[in-house]
Amino acid sequence: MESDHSDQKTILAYHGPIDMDVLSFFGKMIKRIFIHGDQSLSTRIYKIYIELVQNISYYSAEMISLNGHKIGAGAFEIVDTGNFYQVRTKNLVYRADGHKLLKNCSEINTLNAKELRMLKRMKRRELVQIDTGAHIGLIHVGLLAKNKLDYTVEEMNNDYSLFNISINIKK
Amino acid sequence: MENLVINEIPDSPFYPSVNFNAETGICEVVGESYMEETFKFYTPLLDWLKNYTYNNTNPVTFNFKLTYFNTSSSRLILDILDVLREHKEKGSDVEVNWYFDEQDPDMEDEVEDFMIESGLEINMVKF
Repeated sequence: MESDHSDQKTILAYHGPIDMDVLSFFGKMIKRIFIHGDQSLSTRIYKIYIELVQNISYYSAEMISLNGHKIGAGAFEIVDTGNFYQVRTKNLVYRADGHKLLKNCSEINTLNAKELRMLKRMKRRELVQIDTGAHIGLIHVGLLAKNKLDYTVEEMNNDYSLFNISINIKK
Repeated sequence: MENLVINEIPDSPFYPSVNFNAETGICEVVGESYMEETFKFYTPLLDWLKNYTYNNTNPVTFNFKLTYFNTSSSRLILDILDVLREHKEKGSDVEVNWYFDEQDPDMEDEVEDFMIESGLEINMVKF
């Protein structure tokens, strides 16, 4: 993702392990930060935040041991770009997963809202116990934001890639 | 049959509270749902519903008061709706109400999708 960051204001940023306590803590922060503004917008940002950041927790290839549990690590930011709020996440993925992400994000960006809803309904029926639904999560993010996903997958070495994704939510 | 009650956990806001009443058939799920182990949480709810509706036409009123649920949870919500639809198809009295904040218009699309996928009518109630 390339953008001029000079007019942007970081509202929230974090880099580290993401367990449920971290996820819910920052979720509460988001609700507090946006409490006086447009509640529809605030709710949308919150939902997108949970979907994208929970994906880091589930799927990051960088796992950190915390109290005997393996927890996904990565980074997220919520930024005010002027016309938009932007939710950005970044995490390591396995190279094979990186290829799947590229394919899934590309597909999502070609579809309109009606097609995305149909795809989400179809994918939801296919979800099984071991699958926590990353693909559907990204579809849902695209639907909520009513904007294209901005994403890159940078191959770091033979095993890992760095997955960056951001989504603009119009004010 | 016993009631199923799961109280809200203040330090774990990602679990909804649950109150399924075996005497009245009124079932409620309230709060937010984005726990890690969605199947583990929702399986007892599904089992209770299947037992409650097994081989009878007991009436059920199911109230969803979820302000947020992640995509994993939505799969299990669909499973709940499937059980309710099957019960309704037996001739039982089944009413499903979805309470939502009018400041959350995206929720209307979600509920419409649930109706399409489950084939069950859901009353949308603004609060």
